[in-house]
Amino acid sequence: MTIGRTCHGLLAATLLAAASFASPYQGPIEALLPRVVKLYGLAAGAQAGYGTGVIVSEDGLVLTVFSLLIDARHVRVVTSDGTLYDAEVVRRDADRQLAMLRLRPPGAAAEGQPAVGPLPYFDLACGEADAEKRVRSGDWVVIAGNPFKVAEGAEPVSIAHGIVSARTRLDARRSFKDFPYRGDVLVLDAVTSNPGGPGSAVVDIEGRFVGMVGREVTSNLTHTHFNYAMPRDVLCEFFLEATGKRPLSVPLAAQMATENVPVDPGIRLTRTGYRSLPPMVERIRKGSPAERAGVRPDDLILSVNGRSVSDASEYDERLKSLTAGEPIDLVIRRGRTIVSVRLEPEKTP
Amino acid sequence: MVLLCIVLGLLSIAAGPASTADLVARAEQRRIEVIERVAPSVVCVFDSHQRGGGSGVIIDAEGYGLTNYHVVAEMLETRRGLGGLSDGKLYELEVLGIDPTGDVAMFRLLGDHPFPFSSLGDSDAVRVGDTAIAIGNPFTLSEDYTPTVTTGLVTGVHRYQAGVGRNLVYSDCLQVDAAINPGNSGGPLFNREGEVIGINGRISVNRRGRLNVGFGYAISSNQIKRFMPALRAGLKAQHGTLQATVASEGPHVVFDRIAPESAAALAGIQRGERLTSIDAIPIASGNQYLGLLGAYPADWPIHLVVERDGQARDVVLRLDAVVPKSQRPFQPDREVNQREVERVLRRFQKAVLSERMPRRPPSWAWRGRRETATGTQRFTASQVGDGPLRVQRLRDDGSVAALLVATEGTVTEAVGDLEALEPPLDVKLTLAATFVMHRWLLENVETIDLSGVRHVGGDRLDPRAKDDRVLEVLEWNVCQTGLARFEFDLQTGFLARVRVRDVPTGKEFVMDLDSPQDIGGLKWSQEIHITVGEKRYRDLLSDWELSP
Repeated sequence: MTIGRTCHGLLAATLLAAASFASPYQGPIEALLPRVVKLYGLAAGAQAGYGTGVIVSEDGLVLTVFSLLIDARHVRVVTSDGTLYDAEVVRRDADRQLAMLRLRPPGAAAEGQPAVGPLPYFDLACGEADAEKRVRSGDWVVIAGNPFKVAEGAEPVSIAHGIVSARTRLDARRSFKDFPYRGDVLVLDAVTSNPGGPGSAVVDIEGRFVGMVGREVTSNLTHTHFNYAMPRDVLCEFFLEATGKRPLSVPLAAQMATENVPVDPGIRLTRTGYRSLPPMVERIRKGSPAERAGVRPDDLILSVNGRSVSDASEYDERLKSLTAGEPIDLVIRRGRTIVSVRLEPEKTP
Repeated sequence: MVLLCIVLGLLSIAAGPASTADLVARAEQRRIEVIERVAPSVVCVFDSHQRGGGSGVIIDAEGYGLTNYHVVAEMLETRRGLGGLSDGKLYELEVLGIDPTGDVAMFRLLGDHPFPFSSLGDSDAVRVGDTAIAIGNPFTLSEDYTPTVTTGLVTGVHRYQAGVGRNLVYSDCLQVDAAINPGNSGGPLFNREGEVIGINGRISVNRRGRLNVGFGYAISSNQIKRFMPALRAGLKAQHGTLQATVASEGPHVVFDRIAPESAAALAGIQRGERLTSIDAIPIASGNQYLGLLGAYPADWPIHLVVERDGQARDVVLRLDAVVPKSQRPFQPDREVNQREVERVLRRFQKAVLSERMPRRPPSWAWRGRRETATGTQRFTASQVGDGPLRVQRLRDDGSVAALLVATEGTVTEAVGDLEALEPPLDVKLTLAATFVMHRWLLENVETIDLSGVRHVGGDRLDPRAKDDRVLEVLEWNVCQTGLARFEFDLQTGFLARVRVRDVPTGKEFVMDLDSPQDIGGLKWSQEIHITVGEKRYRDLLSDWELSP
């Protein structure tokens, strides 16, 4: 027994020593570095002239975000060994805000191009079994990219680490325009919203490719910059379409039409500038659910589906959380009376 | 029993999850212990009116510490500031040497010794993915000077971050994702063991403000070590340059423009030649070239491998100085410098003499032999009390071939076959230097006249030998025309090299001392290598005698 305890103690000490010297991030970092590339392209306005991409095929397909960067006449790509390639854009996806590039050896003639590679890459030919590999909230992730253009040539790109905070729907904007992608994203607790950061690869602690940092956006909910990654399954769909392995089904747009179409009950509230005003109805659209339910101008909206609203922007927030095609219950103050109304949805053609 | 251990070992591995949780708990416990151990060495730095707010770290018990230049830049007028420690006390802080180009400064806390301190680690051993612990006073949060701790990973090594003009260049820096914020400047970056691997001082920021976004940079400890002698001695450190630009050529770099009369030009480096390595580190990008070079002081010897038409050759040269633009004038403090001279000599004595040695021995004698190209000469050197230094060269039969006598660095007597002496350098200079060396070695530092001695910063041993040991250099004018440099090992305190130069002729006498061993009660090199121009000699000391 005594011997056993001693041995156990020794073993624990050995394990502890081993654990304290081998960084658990070493594996993921080794998986990341050869598969992440530095991009150089168009600089315009807030768009930095550099960025990051991920190699997704051994013959030189590079996944990145859909941005002005790749609109340059020459998009240049530097792989981890310092080799400089020209790249052409083979696919742009405005819905998912993703793009696919193909590497060409620099200076090669357009026709009869010599093959590139074989390069180390992350496999995006996702199968059914892939769903099980999804990261979960709380999982550690390691991120590699070239924000701030810290690395050049063969220098290794920057690493960051953090956890997946949640998987959720993105609701964001860029400047004053809504961000078109409204699908699922992985929320990260590392700061990824940096110039040059979009396109960075995200792997889990086993070194598996689980996502790619998306474009810099501002959350519509918190009005702060949002740190997130496009999840692997979304990248897979894009990859399969971009490589012709799956027909372009416009599935995303269709999904969004049914799942995330903005709900419009036909009420316009009184608004002046940026001041926060009480949710007072100004106009009602003809033939809208609100008109059919008898909502009138000068009605004050007190609650939406049982949740109180105190100003116009809160009313907007409530609407965003609703699903199209379902009735909406409003409580309204009209003069000195309180009225409850139910708005039936419009029939979709 | 061994077998039983293995069996039990397998069992415990099978019991996986429990032991993993245990390991994590113990690793966390260890981290807490490290932080508790090192946090007291972290300083909250303020100016004398307790304005501003940066950080620093104490690196020895006497209260010497490191911070950023930009933290003390406003204190240079008075050279005074304040440093708060986690004991809740505020100490007066004296600014010593500065390195505006590398954004480093050294200070000394004035107060009761010993101060809690942290040791510098080896930043070249740091790998991406290693734990990084930043401690400092971000946002001057701490009112009782208890510093703030942030942790993360090392996310890049050997990074180069260009400066503002030629100032505040982060040459060979570490990149971390631990949160670094305003106020962290000058504070230490620790590794898992609690060694200082860098000084935090810079972050990348986006348009949203001057706040952490996961990109912090720390000046590497190995870069700082090379500048440390100059910083301690209260000097303004100068950085080195080749005065040559490079251009990328695929995964290689080639020399592009080379300034005429530059060290690179004088070493025969030509445009278009490929630079393969600096000090055996392969060079793959312009960033890396700038980063590596910027981490060396001016006049530092480096070893390049340069390639032309596939033919590689070695180039060893001393770097030119970066000519700083728009740096404030800085007058080194003579008192600080003198204090450092004395400290170097005390360390030297401590490294050589055992505790019981008298500090002013009446008599001593060396015996040994000198190997030259033409044969071996035996010699003795001796001194009685304050009397003259006598050096004798002996023939094989024991008769005296030559005798030299020097008093206070002046040769007063020279008889015998002087032509046969090796080396044929002006013996006055070397004897004078030897005389001084022995006084420094054997006398009380307080009683030696050191008014002519200056601490001039650092140097290194032969870069070809990949010897990265940093030396501290004391300079002394000898016999009107000569300049003697005594170079001490920063780590051990032992004398590593003596260079004596006759300034008008440029002739140089270099004495390289091997690492010390016990000889008759003191630690001294048994082998001393002497180089005069192309000639090389070897002194083998056999005996050392000290009469009470």
